[in-house]
Order: sequence, then C-alpha cells, then structure tokens
Amino acid sequence: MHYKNENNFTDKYLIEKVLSGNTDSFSTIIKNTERLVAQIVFKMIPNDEDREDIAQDIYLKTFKKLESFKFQSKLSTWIGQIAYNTCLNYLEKKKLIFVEYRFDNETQDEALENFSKKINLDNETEKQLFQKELSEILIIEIEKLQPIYKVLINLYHNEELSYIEISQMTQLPEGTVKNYLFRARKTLKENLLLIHKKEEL
Amino acid sequence: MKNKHVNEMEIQQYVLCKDDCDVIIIEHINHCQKCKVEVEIYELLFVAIKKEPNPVFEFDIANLVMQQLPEKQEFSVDKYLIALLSSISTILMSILIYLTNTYFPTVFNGISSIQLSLIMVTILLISIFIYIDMNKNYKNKMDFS
Repeated sequence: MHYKNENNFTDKYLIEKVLSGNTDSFSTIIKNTERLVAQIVFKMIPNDEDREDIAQDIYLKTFKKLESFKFQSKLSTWIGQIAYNTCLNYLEKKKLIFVEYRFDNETQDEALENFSKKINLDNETEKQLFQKELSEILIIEIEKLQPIYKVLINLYHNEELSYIEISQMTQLPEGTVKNYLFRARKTLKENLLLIHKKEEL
Repeated sequence: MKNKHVNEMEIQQYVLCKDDCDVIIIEHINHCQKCKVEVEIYELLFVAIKKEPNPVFEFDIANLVMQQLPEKQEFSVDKYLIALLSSISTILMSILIYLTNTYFPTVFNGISSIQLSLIMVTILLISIFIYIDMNKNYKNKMDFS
C-alpha cells in the first residue's frame, strides 16, 4: 500500500527520490513527520537542550537507514519508531528515575464524593470555571507522567493513531499498549482527584 | 441491571467507545451516580488531553539536518569504481586485439557454418536468460508493495 502525505507525495515516491540522490526530497519527509517526532521528543525528553541534538540524530539515522525501509508500515510510523527508540536510549543512558504515585481506596472515594458535588453544580458559570481549573491541573499532571505513558497518551489521543500503529512504533505488543494506556489514564484520573482533594483542604 | 459498580476498564471503554459496551454496563452507568461521576472525570480528562497545545521545535529541524547530509548518496563512489574498471577492461581488450589482430582472419576457418551458428545461438540464449533473470531481480527489488 502506498500512503499519501499532506503534500500528496507518496512515501514510495519520496524515498525513491532521496535514494536516487535527490537529498532535497528528504526535507519534505522531515516536514511531513516533524509534528509526530516533536510529540515523541517533547514527551520523552525533559531537557530542552538535548531535544535539538536528539531530533537531529533521529533524522540522520532515518536518512542512513532509508534504504532498509521495507514499506511494511507508513513511513511516518517507521520514523516514529526511530524517534521512540532514540529517546528510549537517551533515557536509559541518563538512568532517569520515575516517581510512583500511590492512592488508597479510601482517599479516592472521599475525593470522588467531593468531585461529584462540584460536577453537579447548578450554577453554569461555576461549573465552567471548575472544568477550566481541572483542565489546567490535567495539563500539569500529564507532564508528571512517566515518559512512556506521556507518549502513548499523546499518540493515541492527540495524534489519533491506532493501537496497531502505536504498537509498531514502540515495538510493544498491542495488549501492552492497551494496558499502558489504561494505566496512564487511571493514574491521571487518580492524580486529578488527589490534587482536587488537596486543594479542598 | 448490574448491581456491582462498573470497573475502571469498563468505564474507560464506555467513554472511548460507548457502542462497544455491554448494555448492562450502559444501564448501570445511567442509573449509578458514582459511576456517572467517574465517566465525567474521564470525559474531562480526554477533553483536556485534546486541548494540550502541540509541541513545536524552536529550531528549523529541516534546515539543521539538511546541512549535515551529503550532496549525493554514497553509491556515487561505486559509480566511479565501475567507470574505472570498465576503462581498464576496455584498454586491456584493445591492447589484446591489437596484438592478436593478425590471427583474426584465420580464427573461424576451421569451424563449419553449422558449428558457428550453434555457438551464436547458445550465446544468444544464455544472454536472454541472464537478461530476464536480471530484470526479474530488479523488479522484485523495486516492488515496494
């Protein structure tokens, strides 16, 4: 299958051009996939300075390996896979430690009850304010998630990729992708309730 | 209606794709305030994720990468090598022909026309087979489907 990109060039056409020596076509490949690569790099690499080096490294690796691309997936998925692996290697080298969140059932029930009252507010303005406040908390909480969770959440909910595409990109089994996504959403929900409860006190 | 509260996995499934959910789960959520709140939290969560601004590189990545790429792919070196080898072969063949040209008129004297045509046909057939095989290999390699 030949996938068409935003600028109507198929993956096959662009790759043939680059492999025949027209390196300028590689710039089109970069532009087509930059958004996806940025999503992965920003979610996995906390350091601003390292992002520039890693982004360049991803595309240089792509250029070198382009000849080995087997067209078993979209070119963007393949580049996403290179991006994910490059970021993962970086994280492994840096040995980044992740914070585990704990949340007991009692606290959760209590928070849920408070939350329920707020959601069912009669005043529409107050309700909207509450929802806006929640959105702001969530954006911060998403950033606190483990890199792998952040990436999966973004690929699924923002980039709207399927489980299969995410699985190809991260080389994780489809079931693991689903499971990680479930845990990421659950963690986000729990953190949201926890923070809400703290703010209430 | 299901009396036990819907589990976390089922709630997520309900928010993501209500159509795929069991009727019992849908009914329970419609009647249970606790589960309804859970659903609303997830709905808010997904809306907030969508609202997150897309990250953009603060530098021109295309420009940075393009500066580091070679003008042409590396196989241009192979082309020079092929040209060099072809030139050497041509020169050697020319020298050989020049040195042995006096014997040429007598080369085919001892061979009958039937033998000569047999040799020619064999050479032609082998060439055709080699060409077909090369063409097939090339097409296989260029087939990206």
